[in-house]
Amino acid sequence: MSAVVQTLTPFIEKSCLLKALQYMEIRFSEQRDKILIQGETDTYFDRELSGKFKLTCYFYTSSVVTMLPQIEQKYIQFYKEHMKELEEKRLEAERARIENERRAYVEKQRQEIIKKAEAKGYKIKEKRNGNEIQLVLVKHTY
Amino acid sequence: MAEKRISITIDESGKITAKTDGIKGEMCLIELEEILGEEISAMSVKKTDEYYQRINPGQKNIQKQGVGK
Repeated sequence: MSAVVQTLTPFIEKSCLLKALQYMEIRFSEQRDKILIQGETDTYFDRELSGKFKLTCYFYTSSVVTMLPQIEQKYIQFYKEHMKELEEKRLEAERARIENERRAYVEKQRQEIIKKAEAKGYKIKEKRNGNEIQLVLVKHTY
Repeated sequence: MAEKRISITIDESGKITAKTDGIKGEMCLIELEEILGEEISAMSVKKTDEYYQRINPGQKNIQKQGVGK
């Protein structure tokens, strides 16, 4: 005889669990790391030391218990979306950092050229063509 | 009255293209060195036919790769 037991996906990310409950139209209120289910006696999710939210309920016939598989499915969906969003934000932040570095480098080049040209008596005309900088240095000698 | 003209383009990646007009002989390279600084050593210098023509030796095209390129 053998048995296969599968646990629920641990509800670790609170925001995703709350979204899943909202999607399932389960009314709740929050008290720190405790999510109290409204309309159910002593039914709540609270965060264990392990970090996951565990459902505790007075009646095992509680509607929340019967809805756990659907809550889990929605949690997984929202968790994946959340991870994707975080990855996009991380990539965007990295892209912005690299772009700022490039802009700072180009600006430093521009300033140094202008400073040295002015010191040599050149008049400078500057034109921007998109991201391209065009400098025309002109000096008249007799 | 003579005119010295240096046209410099810095593209979005930081690559510099510089062209001199009205500066004769080796002076055009010296002038660019003084304006573009030590980084000119990292430049690839493309001498045009005009560079070797004594009649009009003051024009050179210089291209520089930006750092990291």
